Amino acid sequence: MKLPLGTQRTLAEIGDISRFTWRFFQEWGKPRFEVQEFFRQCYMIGNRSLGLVAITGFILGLVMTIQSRPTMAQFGAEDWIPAMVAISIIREIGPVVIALICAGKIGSGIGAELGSMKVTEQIDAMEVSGTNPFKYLVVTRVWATTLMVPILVIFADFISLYGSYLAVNMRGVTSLALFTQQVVDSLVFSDVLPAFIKTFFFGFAIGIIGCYKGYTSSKGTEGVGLAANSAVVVASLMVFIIDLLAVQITDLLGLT
Amino acid sequence: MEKQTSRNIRLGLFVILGLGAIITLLYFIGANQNLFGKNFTMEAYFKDVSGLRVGNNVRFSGIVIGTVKDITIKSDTSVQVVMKIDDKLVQFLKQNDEASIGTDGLMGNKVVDIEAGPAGGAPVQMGDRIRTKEALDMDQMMRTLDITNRNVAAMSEDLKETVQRINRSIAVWEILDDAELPQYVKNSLKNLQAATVKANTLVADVNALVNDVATAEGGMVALLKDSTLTHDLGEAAMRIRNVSAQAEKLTTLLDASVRSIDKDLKTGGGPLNAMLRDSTMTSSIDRSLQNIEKGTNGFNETMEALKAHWLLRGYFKRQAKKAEKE
Repeated sequence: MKLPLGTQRTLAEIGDISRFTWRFFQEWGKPRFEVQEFFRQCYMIGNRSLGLVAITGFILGLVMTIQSRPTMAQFGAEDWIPAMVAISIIREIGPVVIALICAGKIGSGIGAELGSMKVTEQIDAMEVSGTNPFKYLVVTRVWATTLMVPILVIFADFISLYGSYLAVNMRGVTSLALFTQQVVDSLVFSDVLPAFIKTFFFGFAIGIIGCYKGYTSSKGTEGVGLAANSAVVVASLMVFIIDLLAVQITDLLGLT
Repeated sequence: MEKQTSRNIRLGLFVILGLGAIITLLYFIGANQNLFGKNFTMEAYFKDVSGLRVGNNVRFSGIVIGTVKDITIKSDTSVQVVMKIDDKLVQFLKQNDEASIGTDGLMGNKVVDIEAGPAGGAPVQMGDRIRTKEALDMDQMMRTLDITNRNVAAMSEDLKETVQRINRSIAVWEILDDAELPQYVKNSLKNLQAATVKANTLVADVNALVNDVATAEGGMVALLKDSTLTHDLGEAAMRIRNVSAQAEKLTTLLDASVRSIDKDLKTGGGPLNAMLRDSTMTSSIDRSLQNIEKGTNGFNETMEALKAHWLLRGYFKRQAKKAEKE
């Protein structure tokens, strides 16, 4: 039986990504740890994305609130806007949108960086010089994304709730204290924790896909663009797949 | 190296702020869910918890004081609800408080409402069981509403019949159709108005009259106003009363005398009674009277004889002359 060429290629890529991920788990426990490089990557990924993430989060909260107002007003449930917006942002929209933004910014960055290092044979040179390029380049970056994306998501959640507060006050008057009370009242641990945990997986997926695409790029400078591009596409897709899994697992565990 | 340190500081700030944010959020949610510092539990048994779930709020006087920790079916008619209460607020709960299942708003989450019992209950202890009462049951309400609906239907049926009868009634329609009737009614009302005006005038006149009487200085007013007169009148009346009292006494005395005389006459042994009752005596009196008459006659003859006697004739003549002179 011969599968179509596209399917074959897709399956081969999934296999490669799995192997790459496996290699990551094999490598990260071994010394030596590239601590300085890890912090540098954290800074580059975390701090440097904060502005973008903050703007996205702010607009998200503002728009969500303005958009849901007419429908809520139809039910006479304008009081519930803070609660509704808070739940939807913290449970789902915040993590997913921020993960997609990060996939676009961080994933493509990593893909392009590692891709250009690959095609200029810097990675090979590193290997020759005795540095483990996988540990130095991949492990640090994947850890950095895994740990920084959740923090970015938390910031974005808070900023978008503030945006929502401003939007609520565009049409009505709600004190910040009341808004906070309504938000906190509506939230429970099972809203926050699963959403928080899944952002680690989002970060991990973004890092690992970006690294994989860059690390395995080829075909010269053309391959760099391709690596960056496909890193964003696959990472975004992975974000949604992980989201689907996370929702099902939380549902199975009864953490609704 | 300088650059790296400043980057690391900024990274540290970023991470600490992020972690601080999530910890704050979790703390607030936890505080809201009563998961921190709430060790006190108590329980209540309900027949029906109508959809209460673990984690629902427990309210006392409308304030959230805890959450539902556990719900267990104990038997076919009782469900045990274990509640976790804020340690600081336990002091307000008494053993005679009553719990019921309520709803937060019209369609909101179920809550356990604890209502304060009569004053003087002992404070609740850990694990105490408090009394419950059945909350407003939706089904019960619907049943009541059904009865109400039926009553309304019956009433509207009656109303329909009433209206139909009015519609069929010739008399009512005659009254309604009569074009002259309003004129009559109007005239009557006019007359009534005129009468009222007259009555008004009359009342005003009477009023004026009374005013005149009150303000004028005539004898009538003096009579009406004189307090001495009143006093005199009072005294006179008093005297009249005294006189009449005395008269009454007198009458009584007279009556008594007459009675005793009568009695004496009838029963006593007096001469009168004897005269009245004794026939022998009567006849003897009769005879005595006859004798006295005879005696008197004899005396008369004697007197005539004496007149004629010469010795006494002069005296009688002088007597006669004296009488003639006068």
